[in-house]
Formats: sequence, structure tokens, C-alpha cells
Amino acid sequence: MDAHSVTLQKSKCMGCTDCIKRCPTEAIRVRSSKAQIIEARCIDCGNCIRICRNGAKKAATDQLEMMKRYTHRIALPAPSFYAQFPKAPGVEYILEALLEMGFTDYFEVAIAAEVVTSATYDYLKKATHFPIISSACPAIVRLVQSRFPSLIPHILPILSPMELAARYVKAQYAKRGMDLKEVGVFFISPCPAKATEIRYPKGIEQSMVDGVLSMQDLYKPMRDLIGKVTPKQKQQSTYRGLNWATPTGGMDENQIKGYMAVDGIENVLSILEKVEDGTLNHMTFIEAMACTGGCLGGALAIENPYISRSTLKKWIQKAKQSEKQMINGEYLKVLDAVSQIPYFYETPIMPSSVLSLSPNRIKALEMMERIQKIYETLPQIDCGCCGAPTCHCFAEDVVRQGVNVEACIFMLRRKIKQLSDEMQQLAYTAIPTENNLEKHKE
Amino acid sequence: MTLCFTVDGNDFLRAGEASAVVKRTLKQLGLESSLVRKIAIAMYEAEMNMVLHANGGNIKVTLSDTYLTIQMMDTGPGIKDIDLAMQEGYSTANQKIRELGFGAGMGLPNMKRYSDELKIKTVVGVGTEVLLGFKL
Repeated sequence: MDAHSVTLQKSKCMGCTDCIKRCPTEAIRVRSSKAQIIEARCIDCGNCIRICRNGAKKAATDQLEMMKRYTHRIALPAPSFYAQFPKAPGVEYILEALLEMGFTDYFEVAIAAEVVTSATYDYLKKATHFPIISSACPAIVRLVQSRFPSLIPHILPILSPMELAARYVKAQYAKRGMDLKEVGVFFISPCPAKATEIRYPKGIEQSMVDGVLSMQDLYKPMRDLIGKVTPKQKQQSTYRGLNWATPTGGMDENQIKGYMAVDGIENVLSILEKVEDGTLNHMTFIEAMACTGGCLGGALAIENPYISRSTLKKWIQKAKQSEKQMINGEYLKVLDAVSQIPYFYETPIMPSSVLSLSPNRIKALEMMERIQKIYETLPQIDCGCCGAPTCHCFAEDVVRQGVNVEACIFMLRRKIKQLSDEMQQLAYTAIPTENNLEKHKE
Repeated sequence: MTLCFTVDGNDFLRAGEASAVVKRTLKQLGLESSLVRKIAIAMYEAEMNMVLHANGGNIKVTLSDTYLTIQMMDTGPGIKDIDLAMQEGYSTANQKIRELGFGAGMGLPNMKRYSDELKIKTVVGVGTEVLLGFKL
């Protein structure tokens, strides 16, 4: 499997410049009229999937057939999934439909989210590197690793609600004496980054999630089933857990002094720049999400994020109204059991310095000078015809990868002019056997 | 390698751009991330000072494999009392600016704290030249 969950369907790519211009980490180039993703730079934000007008970018999530491999098939639906079904009579109908779909059980990620929330409050009391940056969005953690390695100590070292939910489920099944090889845990994802996350988890050795299914693959069958099922169980997650899918995240801003929520990768980039510059040292916690609108705006979500936000609000309101009935003994028992699961990171987050030109500093400096020189000769209009998103990026590609500088059409035209001037001059070359003076008179 | 920038004192939106370019350059050079951050903080402070107090100016960044020099020149009001300005918490900013989160009086102290060399030449009414040096 690839290191990434965003892949290209070559036959559909027409080599336009839409994706290269919108990739926040300059990870795409067009070469031989096809987009190419530079693996080391991609953070799986999914921007290119959203932007591609030909649908050439695909998220490499797992196939539904993968469920067949397991006797016990447990779905992990996140609140963002509930928000895809505005016409469902209630969340319990969505959960029941999951069982009809072929899952043998489900566990609401929102419950794990509540535990992560309280663990975060506790962590903030003893943290040392402020502001703490949330780690629930895997694209953000990747962004910090590759672009802001100095901010790695600021990352919240707590598992995502998805991972914690999966750990809890596996622990429960192990307790019941089940063979874990027979237990498949599936996250229903709004984004490709989660699929990468289970293959290459951060902060832990191995993910307990066995498969990541795309919301898009489940949407149609689920929509049909929701209208037909009769729920046997009530929803267990409360409004606090459901809040996680909103753009402000699951934290209560009234409980944290110096709280900020930022969504949309471009906005996150500029906020992280400020954190790096030391101008946000007075903040305590930054909830950062790569997608505009948070997880509701994920590249694999079906509904428009603004519509799904209003749907989610509806579920949150409903949960608030029945808060008293929901917080019963059984609910508290589950919440307690989840909070017994170890939720701190177990392995360090490592930097992946993709920006570094060369491990040898003198060589890097020399390359940098060449890049600067080339950049100065370029048109600096960032047209993208060369296949790189900006002129500066192109200058880097010339020096780093030996791309021909005439891949820039302006440079090519200059070269053609230079050659034609030379040819014209050659046309006047004096030939000893010819009387040039006579010829020019003609 | 030399990088030159003109800082526009009236353009708040673009304030910090020179620091951002230098930061990116240092990351490309493969410097240790904590060092990049120190330089970023010190340079950002200095650049913002030029915008806030001196109506902009010029920045010259000279980079070798072992040393980084950031030279910042402005024709602003100059600093009346450098010793006072170097004290943590001292600020000439008024209450309004402080409410906006600026003027904490940490500008020069932070520049000193994070750099290996800090030289300030200033003449009241003429301008200020700040030189920040970093061992790489």
C-alpha cells in the first residue's frame, strides 16, 4: 500500500494546473501532462480531491468487502457521519442502519471524544509548551512534522477519539474472550487522512483500527436503510461528544482561557506561522482542523458542510434535551471504562524535514544561491505552465531535480529568441568565396 | 547569500513577510528546528518594531554556513534610552496598543535573549540600526 491515501487515476487527469495551485504543501507537479504527488510532502489534507474537476484524485480508503474477513464487524461512526443524514428521524436510526448494513456492532466515536476532552483539560493543567495544538486531525500533525518541526512539543500527545474508541472496542472483545483476529474495527471516515493514519499511526506503534471506510461508499445504502429500520437501542453519545464535529471542536471555550479554533488548511498555516514567531504564546489551546468547517468539510463527506452543520445542530439540540435520561448508570459505566484505556502517546512524534535542500549545509547554501539566481530570471507570475505551483518552486525543482529551465514557457521563448538572433547573425557570416559587399548591396 | 527586503511601515497586512521568507530559507538550509524558531522570534520582533515604531525600513540578511546576520535600518524616531528599552516590561506603547496584545515590553529583551549578537545604533530623530547575529 502507498504511504498516502490520496492517489491519482491517471486516465482521468488532463494535466491542468488546478491541483498544483491549491495544494497547501506544494506537493503536486504536472509532468508529461499528468499530476504527480510528491509523497514526502503530501499531508493527505484532501484539498486536491475536492478541487479536481475530473475526479482524477481518489482517496485510497478500504473497500466494504473487507468486512467479510471478520466474524465480528464493529463500526465506529463519528458525529460527522450522523450529520450526513438530515432526513433521519434520529441518530438511533443511523446506528440501527449500520447493523442492517452488515456490521455486527458499533461504538460511537463521540463517547471516546468525551473522554479525550476531559483528558485534554487535565493535560493543559500540566503542559509546558503553550499553546498546545490539537492532534485529532491527522493532516495537522503531518503538517507540523513536515513544515513546523519546532512545534512538535506543542502537539497534544493524546490519541484521537477514533483510536481511543478502537482500543476500547478491542479491549472489550478481548475481555469477552474473543479471538481478536476475528474482530474487525472500521472507522467511517470523512477524509483520506484517517486512512493514512491507521497505516502509519503517530504517537503509537500500531493502530487498533482495521479498516477505514469512506462515507461516500456507505452513504447510498445507508440512506435507503435509515427509512426502513426500527431502532432497538438508543444513542449513547451526549451533546458534548457530538460537538467534536463542529468547526470549534469538542472543547468548551468557556473552560479554557486562551482558546482558539482554526479551520481550513490555509488559515491553519498562517496561525502556525504565528505560533512559530512566538506571537501566540499567550494562547493555551489551538484546535486546528485542516478542512474548512472541520470534519464536516472533509473531502469524503457527502453533504455540503453548511447543511451538515445545521443537521448536526439538530442532533446536538436533541441530545441536550434528553441529557438527563442519557446520563444513566450504563452510560457512566461505559465512559468510565473508556477512560481506563491508556490514551497518551507512546512513541515520539518525529520531524520529517522535507524542506531541507541537503544534509550538507554548505551544499544547501550553494543550492539556495542557485535557486535565488534562477528565480530572479523567471517571470515571477506563478502561471503554473511549467507544472510547478510557483516560480520559486520551479526554481527549486530546477536545482533539486535538474528540471530543464526551458520547461518555463517564458524561458523557452527567450531561448528561441536568442537562438534565432544567433541564426540571423550566422546568415551574415562572411564566406571567403563569396563577395559579401556585393551581396549586401543587392 | 544575501537577501534584501523593504518593509513598508504603512502596510500592516504584509508585516512579518520578510521574517517568513527568512524562516523558510533557514528551514531549507536544514538548520535545527529550535534554532530556526529562535531566529524567527527575534527577527519577527525586530520587523514588527520597524512597522510599529519606525514607519518601515530596510532589512539585509547575510547568510553563510556558520553565521547569520540580520541588519535592520530605519529612519524612525530613534530610541531615547536604550538601557530602559532593554528592560523587560518597559514599553512606550499606550494603553490602547497594549489592549491589542502589543507593547508588552518584550521586544528588545526577546531579541537579546534569542540572538548571539545584538548591536543597536540609534540617534533620536534620525533613525535606528539594529544588527542581530546568530551562530549557526
